[in-house]
Amino acid sequence: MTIEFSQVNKRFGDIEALQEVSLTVQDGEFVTLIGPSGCGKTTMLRIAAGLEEPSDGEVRVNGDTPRNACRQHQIGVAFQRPALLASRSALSNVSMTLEITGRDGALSPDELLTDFGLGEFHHHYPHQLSGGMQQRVNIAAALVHNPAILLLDEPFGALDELTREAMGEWLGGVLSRSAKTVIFVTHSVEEATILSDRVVVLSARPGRIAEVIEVGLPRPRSRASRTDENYLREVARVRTSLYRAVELSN
Amino acid sequence: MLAIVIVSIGITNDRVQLMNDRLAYLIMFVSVPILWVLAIQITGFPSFLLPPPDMVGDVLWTERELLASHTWTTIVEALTGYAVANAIAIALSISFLYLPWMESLALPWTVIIKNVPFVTIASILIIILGDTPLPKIIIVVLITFFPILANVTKGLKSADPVLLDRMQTLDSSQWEIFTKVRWPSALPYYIAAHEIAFTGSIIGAVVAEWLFARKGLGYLIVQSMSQYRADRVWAVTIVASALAVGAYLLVKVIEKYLFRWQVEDLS
Repeated sequence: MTIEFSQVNKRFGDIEALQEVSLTVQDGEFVTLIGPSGCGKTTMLRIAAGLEEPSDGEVRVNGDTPRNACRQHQIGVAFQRPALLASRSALSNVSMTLEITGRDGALSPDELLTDFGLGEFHHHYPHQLSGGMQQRVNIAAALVHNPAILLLDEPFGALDELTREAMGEWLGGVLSRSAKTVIFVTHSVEEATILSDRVVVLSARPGRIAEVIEVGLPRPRSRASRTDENYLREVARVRTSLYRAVELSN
Repeated sequence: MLAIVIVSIGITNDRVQLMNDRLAYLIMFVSVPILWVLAIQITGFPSFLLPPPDMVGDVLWTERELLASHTWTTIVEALTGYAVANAIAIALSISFLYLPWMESLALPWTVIIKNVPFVTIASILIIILGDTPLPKIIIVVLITFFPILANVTKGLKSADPVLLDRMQTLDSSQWEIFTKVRWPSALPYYIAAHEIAFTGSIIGAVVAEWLFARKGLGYLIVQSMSQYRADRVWAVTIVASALAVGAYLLVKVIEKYLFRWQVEDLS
């Protein structure tokens, strides 16, 4: 499934969040949005999820509106703060998605959690899980109905550096076994580089696409890739682009 | 000291807290008759003014049928009023959520209901409606309605916006959002309201009967006072207190059951 932003503007009152954003995310592609705080990354994601309407321009998901894509249960979203009900166990939180979408073509919540390394924690409640575990449950809840599109809004933003790195590797592994179209929002240049096919660098508010960088790293990518010269060069390229976008905005 | 001993043999802090709570209740129940007897000894009041515990215990036993009959009347009035208060308050809270103009419209009414002295309203209702259960039930509704309305309204609005976003991206119906997210979010607030309001329903019914009635614990207080039966007034006080405390403890038991997941730890 493709996601197409065409000349999208978004204003919140007097504040211009996005300006003339045009971007096509191809079927099965992993695209990361990166940029300074408040540049409109989350707004772009929320528009793609049908949670916000663009002020001008349009967003099409396989030629249809995001709301219709949601109605067909084609979109899974995981936010920075896990969207989990405190009174439901990990398994029940994941199953809640299927209570709404139905089970046609869905994955097994049980198997998914086990696959995500939470085999012993099915019946634990969110407050009994670490931040990383909660985020895995959160992503499982976004994935379990097997949507073609996954939208991830800084899912590892609240985690410490080591956990974050491990979670990034884990996510890369999980998604390499599926063919999902992914938009990923992050502040981390390293995370963006290791996970993405393309990195979209946004300028400071109003958010505009400053540069789109193709990440020239072969897949699969592992922990070893992080010490690879090519990886370090790609990280430097994304970082330079990000600095340039910030300087241009100033 | 007991807590220290228990910790030292490896019982968790939660268990120690629970045992300490129970010990505090036990100390209270043992202390009341002791303080009571001490008060009689110190003040020297005669038994027709301040009856000793055994005399009141005797009334509780010998007049048990009379007390049970009046207690039942009070319970029926309290529970009926409380059920009506719950139904109205929950319906209004839900309407506030989906029809915000309803909240603006209802706000002056709720302020009036909350702040007008209910003793005066009770007198007016008794003049209009006479000696029927209705004025007592209305009084119970007026006393218990507001805490439920305020808490459920706040609870329904406290639903996590991230969860609401998740539900929207799954194309959930309003019913699914309500049952799976909004109501579970409101439940702790609703239970907290019961802690105040359920006990209040018993007190409300007794006070309404005290103003004017021919049945119920409130009526029995008035009748016993006019007959200088201090022993029976004390007996009624014990029964009414036991009812109110029972209502409170019932809420705590339900709360503990509903939120049992909160205390389960990784061990």
